[in-house]
Amino acid sequence: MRVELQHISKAFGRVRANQDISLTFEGGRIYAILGENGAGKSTLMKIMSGYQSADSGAILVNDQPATLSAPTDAIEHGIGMLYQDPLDFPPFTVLENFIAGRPGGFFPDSERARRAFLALTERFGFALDPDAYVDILTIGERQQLEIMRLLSLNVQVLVLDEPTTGISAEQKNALFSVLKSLARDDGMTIILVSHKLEDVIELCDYAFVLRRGRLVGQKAIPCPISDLVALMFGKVIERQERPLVVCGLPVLSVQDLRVISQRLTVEHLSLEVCESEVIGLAGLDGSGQAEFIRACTGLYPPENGVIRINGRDMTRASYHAFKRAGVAFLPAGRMEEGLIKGMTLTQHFALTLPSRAPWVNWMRAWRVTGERIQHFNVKGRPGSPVQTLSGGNQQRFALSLLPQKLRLLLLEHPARGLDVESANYIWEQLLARRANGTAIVFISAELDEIVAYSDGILVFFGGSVTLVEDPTEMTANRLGELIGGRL
Amino acid sequence: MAPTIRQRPSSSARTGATWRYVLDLLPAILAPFFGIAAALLIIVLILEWQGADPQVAWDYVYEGTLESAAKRADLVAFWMPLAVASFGLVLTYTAGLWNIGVEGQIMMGAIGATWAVRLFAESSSPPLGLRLGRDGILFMCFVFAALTGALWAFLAGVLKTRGGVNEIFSGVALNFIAQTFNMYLISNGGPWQPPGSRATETARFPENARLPSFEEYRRLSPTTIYITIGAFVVVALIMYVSRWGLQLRAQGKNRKSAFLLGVRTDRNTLLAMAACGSMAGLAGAFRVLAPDVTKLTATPSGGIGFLAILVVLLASMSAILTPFVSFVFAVLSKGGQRLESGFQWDHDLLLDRSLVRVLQSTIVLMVVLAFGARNRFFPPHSAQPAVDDEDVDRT
Repeated sequence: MRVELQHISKAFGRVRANQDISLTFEGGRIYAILGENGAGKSTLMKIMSGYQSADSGAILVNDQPATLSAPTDAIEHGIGMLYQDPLDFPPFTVLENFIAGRPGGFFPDSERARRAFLALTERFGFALDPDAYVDILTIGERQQLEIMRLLSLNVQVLVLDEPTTGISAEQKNALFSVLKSLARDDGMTIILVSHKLEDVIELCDYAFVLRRGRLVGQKAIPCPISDLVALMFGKVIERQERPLVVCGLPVLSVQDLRVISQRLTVEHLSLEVCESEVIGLAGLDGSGQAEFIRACTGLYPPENGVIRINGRDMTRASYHAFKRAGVAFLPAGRMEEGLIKGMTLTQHFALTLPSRAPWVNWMRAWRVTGERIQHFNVKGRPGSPVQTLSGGNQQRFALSLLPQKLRLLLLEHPARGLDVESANYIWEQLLARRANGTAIVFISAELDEIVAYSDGILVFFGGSVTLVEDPTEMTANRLGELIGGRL
Repeated sequence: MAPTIRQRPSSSARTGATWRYVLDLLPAILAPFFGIAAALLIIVLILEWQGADPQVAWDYVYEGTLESAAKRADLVAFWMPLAVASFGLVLTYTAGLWNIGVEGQIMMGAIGATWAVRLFAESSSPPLGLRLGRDGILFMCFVFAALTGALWAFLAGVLKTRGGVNEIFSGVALNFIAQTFNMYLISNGGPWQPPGSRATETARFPENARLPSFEEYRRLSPTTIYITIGAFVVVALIMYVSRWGLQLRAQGKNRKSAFLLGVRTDRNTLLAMAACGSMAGLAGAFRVLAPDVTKLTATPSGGIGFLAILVVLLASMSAILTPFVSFVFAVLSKGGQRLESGFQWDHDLLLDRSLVRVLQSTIVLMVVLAFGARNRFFPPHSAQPAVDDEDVDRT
């Protein structure tokens, strides 16, 4: 079956997730949609599978325009999607999940469903017990169940979103052989959404590469892996020259930490960060960086291990204790975690300025707000509600709220959603803090950013971490390979 | 003093922005009025449809509440506990805490006040040998009421912060427990039911445990007025002057952000609940110590807790508006009682008395609906045109 996407565009507020994307999928082949986090892959596939609708553009199925306003529409047109998180109902059995979503009368015909189910498990060699409860299955087995469910609905195009995250090597091999067989023997179209280059090279015939919402290239596979990396990450910002850090006392010292992310357990995590050091955390979303950084600020209790701040054991201390020790945390979602919608800039300062008095010194808050927003170049008035600021100004304002003297600053995606100029401004401010001795640990999906600003890089992949001590030798391309698991 | 900003927008643009701001505010200000107008219209229609004269109905409400000085005194006596409970709720609702348990807290306050009466006024051997005069006894009543109410609210707070139980659910449960506990005390030979009595109430409190009242208006006590004014001042100071009030506002708008900005949200939750509970407890004390009651009855709160929740929601959690809104509700409630008897006896009205509840609810519903309509059709501009637009992602 042939599916054609024509000029698909989709925006979420200011973020243009997809811009004018046109591509064609032929039957009997396996495609890859490649791109780094936030490139727009998942959005495009959700549009194709009817989960979201595009702002503009058309979808042609076998040269006929198709309106896909719900996943059931897509399935009627033969397009089924396997989501990153399996969409099953854990309290039910495998067979009940298999039946769910099937067209049929009020009373499901479970005997026929069971026969269909067993026929499919036999064909693919899946060892699934139809009467087992889903919550005891592994992620890989739940995927198998979901694939069979989609196949039983006569899907001709199968979209898989990051299917190899969190499954074992054998399950991956089994999955790939099934997918190859479906493409070769049944003439199905398989679309793999991934940023794992290894998987793409191993499985796919053809790759489309997205970057920042645009289709930036396509390649027939096999091809050199470096070609795909270059397409995925684009140009590379040159690393800035700056004085090397002379390591003094460690500000943050982490030993043998264990954190549990959505699907992965990250173990044996150790790191020392000293004054004026900038550590970038690289890795795919959900590789444990977010949990790690939250553990270092008292927001996430680690399973195991020791966290020291300024040499003091603070492993299970509260967030407020970390704050008192000079640790600040700036999360990625500015309006959700960090700023308070409906409060003015002055109210934010009145809330955060240290004071022992039980009342608010509004004059002081007003004055400090004026000074700080001028210093941080925030375009807004002290009386503006914070949500009226634009994204870059919100980020600068969030930075201006941080206490002046900090030992350690932890940031998530400090420049996400900002244009180059705003991002540079944020980093100027951060590097000024670094010059004053503040240690900085940040998560970013922009590899250029990590390479450009870090004095050390911690790469998270598949439940383990690798420390790159000398990032001067590192390029975004090499880093891209590392976070894709190619060591 | 306006701090300098780099790019000062042109003055015309600024006037435009100010004008837009006023236009944005208008629907918010007008919403309750539209709601009340719509409610009155519907009420008139219902009454006409039932063949009753709306004018006569209003006369009953007026006569029952505002016509004579005595009625006005009764109205104030009803208004005070309602107002003091509403002030407490301003704190919790500002902090985003749906303190449904306020009804139970009022009841526990009533029980606490009664307990103090039993300990200090009725017992022959008061604790610590304290033989208090009337002022001392009443003082202990209010302290006990505030503490028991605070404790009841604190429980809901602990369940929320430590146990992760939503305060709405724990509030419903604690209301039920308070009601049951009250019934245990005063019915079926319960420990506080006078021996030989079959009425579900305690004996009347002794003379030295009754609130002083005005000479002409025996049912109204000046003490409740003073305490209510005091509570209002405290809540207004918290809300408009203190850092704590600002923290409550912040965590009510975004608990997570407030926490990350350094607000101790759990501690504030407990404190706000306890503060509200103590005021609810005082309301309970007002109800049992009222000069025309002076006993613990089966329904010591009379539903003013739920009424207070509506008051605070309609006042949009504004401490300044709360006294006025609670007054309106007091009129509706007292007037409704008079109207009910009118429905029963007056041949011009002869309607089912439950219609009063329908009419009262209509007003609440329409005002809430007006707020909803405002949010739906005139959403507050979440992003009014920012001063600049340079940060739009250009990629």
